[in-house]
Amino acid sequence: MRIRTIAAVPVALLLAAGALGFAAHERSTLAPSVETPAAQAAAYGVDPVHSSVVFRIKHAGIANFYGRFNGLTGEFTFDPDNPSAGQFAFSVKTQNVDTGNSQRDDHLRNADFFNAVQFPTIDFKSTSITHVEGNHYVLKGDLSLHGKTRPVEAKFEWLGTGTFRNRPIAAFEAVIEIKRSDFDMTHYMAPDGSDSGGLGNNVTIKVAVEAPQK
Amino acid sequence: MSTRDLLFTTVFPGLITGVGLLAAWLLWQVIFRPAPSDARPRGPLWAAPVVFTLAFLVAYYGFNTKPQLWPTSSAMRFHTTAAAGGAIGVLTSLVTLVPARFRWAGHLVRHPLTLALGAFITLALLAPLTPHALSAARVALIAAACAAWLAPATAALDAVAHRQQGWRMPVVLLPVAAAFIPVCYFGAYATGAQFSACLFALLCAALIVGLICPRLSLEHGGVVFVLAALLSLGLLAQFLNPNSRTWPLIVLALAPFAAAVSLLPMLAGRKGLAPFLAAAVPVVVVAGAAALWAFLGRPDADPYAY
Repeated sequence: MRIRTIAAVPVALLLAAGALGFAAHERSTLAPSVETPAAQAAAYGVDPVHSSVVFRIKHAGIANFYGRFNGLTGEFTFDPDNPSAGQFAFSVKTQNVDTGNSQRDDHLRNADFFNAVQFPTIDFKSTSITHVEGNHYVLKGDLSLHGKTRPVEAKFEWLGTGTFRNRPIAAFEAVIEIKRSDFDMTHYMAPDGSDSGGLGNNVTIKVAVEAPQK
Repeated sequence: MSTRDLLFTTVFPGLITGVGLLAAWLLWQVIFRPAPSDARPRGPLWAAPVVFTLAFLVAYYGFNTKPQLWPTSSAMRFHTTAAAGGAIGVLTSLVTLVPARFRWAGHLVRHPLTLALGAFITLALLAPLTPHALSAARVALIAAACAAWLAPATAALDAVAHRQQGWRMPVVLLPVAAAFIPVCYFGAYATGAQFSACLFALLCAALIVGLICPRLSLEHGGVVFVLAALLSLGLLAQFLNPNSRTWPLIVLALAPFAAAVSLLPMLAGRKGLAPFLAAAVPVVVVAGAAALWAFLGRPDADPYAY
């Protein structure tokens, strides 16, 4: 029994050392360390794996339904001290719509909704960004969806900069409110353009971006 | 489906078709007073495509509260293709009014018009898919194939419609429109299923008018419109919907030709219901096979269970 206990000590130490080493490695490479000082106007490329596009729409006139688009791509330049010089351009494939139900996703891709064959992407390109207060801004731009390009306005929150896998990163969130009827997506919408139909007219799109510096 | 949907997509189009066809027929009878011995259908041939187009546009409004003349999304160009189908239907029916000695010129006009309609529908719906989804060469090939399908299908059904007047011709066409409903429905193309249901309602109304007006004819204009509407539905179902399967649609495309069985000499010369049954039964069989195929191809009975 004693021999077994003694033999187990180095094994446990090795495991403990390994675990501590891994934890240290995690802290240095995986966990982003947020830096509060303002970043310079750097160019960033969107990390599709750590960025999210989530949308919300009324269902049956009462419930809030959430879906997402996977694989956001794009790039931006932004300096919180000089926001007006910032530029943003994003794109996501309509094919990548994900609502947690494959049948519904197929339906959303087809001619009834996104018509993903004819309109393979949803694109956003900024036209201006203005400071509101703190780290909040108003981002204006053109949203292209379902063959229509419309000016939209996003509430933009700059989350700051940090490092991830020894690379500088930046992060922000933006919330855009649109009416899908503005983009000629009117199927299953109430005739009066309200949210009372099978599917609502107002859609909230939330974009959460993590982007390594280029 | 809400009450409004039901009204705009089925009830109103059906009423427009029924009342419109009946009014046009009665007006024609009062103005022209055809001789009882005249075997040739003397109904207002142009009325069917005009009335069908109007009814279809009401249905389009029911599905889309912001209808546009030329929407960016080719999937929403229903009313453009329906209007084109109606216009070509009117033109082809007017050709029948050409005096007999110039009838050859009429044929020269009618068939190229039908070919042009098939090509127009294809290009309106599929050309925007170039270059990322379909090459220009492929779209051109599909346009040629659609034109080549529409012309003989129209010719075959026109010949059948010439013999099957009144309620009979709507009955021959009904199975095709009916079969499109499950083909689109089980392909998760809800709008296609709804438009097929609308077309079904139009033909039901024409059937009722046909019971009142035994010499109502869908020859030329009416047939052209119905086939053009089905062609546009088939194209959208096939090329814009990931769940669509080709085989049921191909089988359905053969249905109009099945009616041509009634044109065989041994059947065409017979009187009574035999030629009608020879036209209707093969269409029911072929369209039914397409509908069954579409149903069996889906593992879930309800493709909208979400």
